[in-house]
Amino acid sequence: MKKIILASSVALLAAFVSLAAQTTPGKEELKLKLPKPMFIGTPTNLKSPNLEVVTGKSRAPFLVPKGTVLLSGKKKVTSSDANPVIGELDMITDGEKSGGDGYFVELGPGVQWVQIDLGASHPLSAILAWHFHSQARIYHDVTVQVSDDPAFKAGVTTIFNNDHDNSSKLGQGKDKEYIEVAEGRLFDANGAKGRYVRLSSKSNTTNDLNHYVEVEVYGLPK
Amino acid sequence: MTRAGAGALVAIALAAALALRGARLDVRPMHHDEANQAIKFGDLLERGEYRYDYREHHGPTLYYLTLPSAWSGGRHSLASLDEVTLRRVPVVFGAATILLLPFLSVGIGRTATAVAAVLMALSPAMVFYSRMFIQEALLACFTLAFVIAVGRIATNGGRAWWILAGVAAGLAVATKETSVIVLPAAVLASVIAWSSRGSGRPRNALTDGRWRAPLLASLAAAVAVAALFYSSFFTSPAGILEPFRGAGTYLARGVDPASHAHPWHYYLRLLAYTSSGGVKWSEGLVVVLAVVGAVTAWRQRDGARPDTAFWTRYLTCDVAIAAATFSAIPYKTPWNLLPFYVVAFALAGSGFATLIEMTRSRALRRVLAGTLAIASCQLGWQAWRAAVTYASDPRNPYVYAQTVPDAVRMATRIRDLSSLHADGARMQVSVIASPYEQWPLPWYLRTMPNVGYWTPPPGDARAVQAPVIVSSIEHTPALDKALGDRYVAEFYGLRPDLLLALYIERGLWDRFLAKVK
Repeated sequence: MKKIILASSVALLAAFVSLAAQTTPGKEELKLKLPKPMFIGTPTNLKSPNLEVVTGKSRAPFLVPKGTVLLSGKKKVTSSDANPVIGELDMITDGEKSGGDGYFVELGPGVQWVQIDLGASHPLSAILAWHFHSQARIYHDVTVQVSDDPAFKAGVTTIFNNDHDNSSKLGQGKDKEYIEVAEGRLFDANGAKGRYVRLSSKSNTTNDLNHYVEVEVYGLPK
Repeated sequence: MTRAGAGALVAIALAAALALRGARLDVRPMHHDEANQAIKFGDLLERGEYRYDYREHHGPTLYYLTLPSAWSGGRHSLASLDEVTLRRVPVVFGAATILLLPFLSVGIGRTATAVAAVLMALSPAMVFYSRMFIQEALLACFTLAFVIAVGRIATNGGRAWWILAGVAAGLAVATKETSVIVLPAAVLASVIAWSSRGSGRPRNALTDGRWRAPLLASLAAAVAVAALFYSSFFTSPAGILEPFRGAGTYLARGVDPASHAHPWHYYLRLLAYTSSGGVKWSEGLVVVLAVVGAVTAWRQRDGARPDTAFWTRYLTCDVAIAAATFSAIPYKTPWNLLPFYVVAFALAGSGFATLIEMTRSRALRRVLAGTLAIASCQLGWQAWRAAVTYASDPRNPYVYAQTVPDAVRMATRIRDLSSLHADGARMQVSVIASPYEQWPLPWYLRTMPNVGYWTPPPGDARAVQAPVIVSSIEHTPALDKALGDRYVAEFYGLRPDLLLALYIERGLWDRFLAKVK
């Protein structure tokens, strides 16, 4: 009996979510093209207050304003490390998200950032990032910021920050750390407006370096 | 090549070897094997205690030969040790191995000797494992000394070579159990090479019937040296028998390993070519030249330079037998290639010398020499990348189950936290993890006397009373439940694909945040 009740509840919830996606006024599901997983066996037993829950399941549909498009495709990328150890900065916006060799940019050790110039200021809906997804890793001090100032000194909106000890000196963050997976990490931009998107990190749990496979910025054209 | 020219090249090779092996010795985090040996060395340093333990540790030479390094730096406790003090011991033996090569000159010639020295100095594998506080650099050095001595005995060397062979064998046996592969391999190789020469066999003590006394002296030297170390300089005579007790353990581990099982071509592939994460590696230069040396060794006519023909065949057989044996054993770790690879350099030098001899055109010889010089530079560049740039990166093929830099950051965090705790360095730290997940923490927390290690499940209530707790990931759900929101959690890598959780008492964490602000 308990099983029947549980199954009915799950089915109802799924139907409700699906219905909500269809009926929320002005919203639609963000359609994403995801790469194949590169490693099997994401450690689903990882549960801790400062770590996002690893479910091993696909991310729930993410709703964005109607008309949302990919703004970052082939856009110019700059970085704190102008000469990456491996790869080229334009690989970050080239649409290739495979976790294999030849698809990622490797930046130097310590705090490093990449910055995407969208060409004009846009209201942003979502930012999707893959640091490196062929191995279960945590990148430290991940921050995602938006601004109209290319130097990020004024008008900065912080969308995500898990630097809980402020060791990267971008402010103390309250967000949790997370393990890299093939579907990437989706950051809710929640309408933040800006021309430049900057992502920062400080090494990872496997080595001292910083990596990016792809970053996608979604928003309204104007 | 003139004597002066060959000497100059060996000197340059030695300088390059010392530079590559000695630079930034602390850049790579301590491997758990290094840390384990460092703690055992700490017992010897602080209390003069050493007992061979065949279950966990290899032979005693590494520990005893590290004492001068510690004493010369004025270090008399585990807490005062550092990575450089420990790692400069294999650096010295890695460089000393190059100095043994000139003793091969009489057999393979000056050109071959000089080229072998250059290649050995710049080899990424030789450089990488000569910077690691494990037994391999020492074993490679003693193995090459034994190979040279046996070859000199077979080519009518004097009594000193018999004694040297005995001392080298004793040191190799007292260094690592795999000496039971490389020592017989050299003897068997010399017999095969000597027999293969037919009428061109070199005269020696065996043909003259004067072998019994020197053989006994050699065996006596080997036994005396091995016994000296295994008995902890005769303070524990029973230790002499311990290696025999360990034979079964190592045989079982080698044939049916619970871990570290690799295919037969593991070593060959490691040296020939590897590519990972956009980074490529190859010691194909050495491998190809060694194959040239091996092939031409068997094409030389019996009448031409009998000693040289013997030596090249002997080296070929030695490398082939030892490499085949190591490859046939399922248990493999990358550093196990050193004891046969160290001999392959002499063969590679011989291969290059043969190519030069076969080339009549002076211009073509210059092209060959220039090509070797450029390829050697590339080898040296790879060695630098292996030793420094990618010292702990899993894409480096010589890196194996290596501690990642994140583990060092965790240890630094713990020490920083202790400076804000009332107990200071005496602050309690609980490590709740399996032994495999505990190392190398005992090394990094060696200055903190109140670090407790619990293998899960932590039934002891004291384990969760510490202000700082390190836990394996699998126990985080239970710890979260037990600790509630009284602790803050961070995550650090220990090795690739292996994470640890660090729990910090909230009050201590708040003090830490206030300090860093």
